[in-house]
Amino acid sequence: MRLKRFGALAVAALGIVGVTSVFVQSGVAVAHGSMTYPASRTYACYEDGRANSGGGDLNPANPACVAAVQIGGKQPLWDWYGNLISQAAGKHREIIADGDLCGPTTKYDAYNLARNDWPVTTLQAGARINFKYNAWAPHPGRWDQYVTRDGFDVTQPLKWSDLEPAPFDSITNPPLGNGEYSWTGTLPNKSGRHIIYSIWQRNDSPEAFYSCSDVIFSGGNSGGDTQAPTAPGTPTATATATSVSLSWAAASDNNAVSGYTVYREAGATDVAVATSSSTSATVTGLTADTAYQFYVVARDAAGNTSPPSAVVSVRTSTGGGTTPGACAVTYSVPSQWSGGFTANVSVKNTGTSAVSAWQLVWDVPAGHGITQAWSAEVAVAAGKATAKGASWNQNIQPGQTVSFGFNGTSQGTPANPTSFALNGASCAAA
Amino acid sequence: MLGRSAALVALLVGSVACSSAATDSTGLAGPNGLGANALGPPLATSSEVGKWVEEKTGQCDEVVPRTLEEFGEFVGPLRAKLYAPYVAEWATCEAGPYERLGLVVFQREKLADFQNSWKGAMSSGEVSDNPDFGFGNGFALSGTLGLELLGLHELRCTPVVPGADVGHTLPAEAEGCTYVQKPGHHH
Repeated sequence: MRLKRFGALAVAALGIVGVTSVFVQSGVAVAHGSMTYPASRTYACYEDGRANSGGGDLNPANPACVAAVQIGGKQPLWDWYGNLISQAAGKHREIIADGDLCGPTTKYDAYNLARNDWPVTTLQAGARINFKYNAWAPHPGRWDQYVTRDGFDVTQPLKWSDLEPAPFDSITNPPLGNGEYSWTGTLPNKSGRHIIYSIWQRNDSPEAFYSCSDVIFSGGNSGGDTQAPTAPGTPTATATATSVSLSWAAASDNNAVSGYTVYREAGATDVAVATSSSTSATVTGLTADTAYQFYVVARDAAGNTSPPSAVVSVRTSTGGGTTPGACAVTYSVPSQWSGGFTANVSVKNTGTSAVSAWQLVWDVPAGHGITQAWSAEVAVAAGKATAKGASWNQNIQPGQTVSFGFNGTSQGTPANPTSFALNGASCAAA
Repeated sequence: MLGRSAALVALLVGSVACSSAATDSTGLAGPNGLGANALGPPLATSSEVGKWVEEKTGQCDEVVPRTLEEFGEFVGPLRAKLYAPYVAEWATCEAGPYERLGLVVFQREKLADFQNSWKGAMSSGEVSDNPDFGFGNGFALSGTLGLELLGLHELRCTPVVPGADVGHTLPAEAEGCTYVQKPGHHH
């Protein structure tokens, strides 16, 4: 009975939500929760509580966990995977105050306690490990793992400025298996007590999850490389309507610079838009006649990151829109009725650079109209429909797909659009 | 573990379809009146809440009555101070992913006082955010994963940002508070 009920609900659910069904069908791995390796504070205290109770309760023995329970109760441990902000939309640094990074809501506030006795995971500096993140529910998104800077003091409230400026590990839609996401990443070459701060920003929703994993880095390269590269030179920029080519003077390092990351300034949380092993990169998928600001950060093989370069401001040119684009569009009509239909649209960035503030344009077939859209704003003018991403899905990372849907009207059988253009560039039909 | 987690996860996945049909043209008034009465079936005991969750999820078949002292241990002293004076009774059960899901029945006549109290706590900085339960008609669940398909709502006592996509919205008992069911949200 239970299985039958669950199955029915699941099937019904997948049929309702286009975004989810797209990812399930494509086999892309997706998730929900908290980091389990290295263990987040809530997960470590939950496991500690389980181990020290006779079953059916949570009674942690670790003093920091005990203190957290005294402040916030046991519910944050029972719900150890729910440390989230539902309307984050990538504005992490804007909406989370210094000192609140590990528990940004009242429920999890106790996990911000600045103590040196939280449960820790000992890790080999510079080693490759399998990060593990529990997977309650399927959601696409991006995980960014930051580490605290050298000299970080865990007995002081964790501030944004305590984190290295760039994540040492990032991944989008990691593989899912056995109820958890797992991916391989290289640890930074740090020593001693640190915090790995993980942010999972869903891209089908503004919801984001946060976790602090207390770690001790040991071993690694004896006296390992902790010296960061110098800042790269100020980038120079050349723009077209939809792309900007950047080049900059190389950074230097005591060993060697292993690569560069280009960031686009985007309010409180800047966006990594390109990586390069050389001193140039091209950012594509931009909007014509729009001002952008970029800067570059260098990194070395040990994961040390440089200060940012100076910012270059550039404006894309007006025009064109005929450049072939690195995008693919899937358009489907899952249901129709007399005089109306529902359409689902998925837009995949098949290129190597992020597409920012995406707009998808298509010719509306004769006799058709659009009445209501979700996960995007859709407007029709002069026979063309323009869909703009919502605040939480307006950027499309390389390889990433965003989806939206709408209800439309039609006279007779609805016809599919024949072509789409993303930010002025034509897309392939998937 | 995953088997136990399936039920509410399945609910959350199907959460979008419920809101628009229940909202009238103003987006405010529900068909059954204002406040919690518009939030679905009135449930007056924690065992009723447990049976209702079981009907919806196929889980929560073992409801354990709990004391208010245990409620304080569950939510901690700060949230207990804000919730407990208005709680009539509560119990827990297991409904995946929640190993311990709180089934909380409020004193219906004190819902406005509860909401005003929470508003005051936010104004004074005592708490930083809105109540974190999923609310139904006179009751709440401590977990909000899947609340939309269960017909539950968030309780917000902060101003709605103009133009924000707030989904299905109903006025709550206290002025300035609303019950919100945001499409696609499931925390």
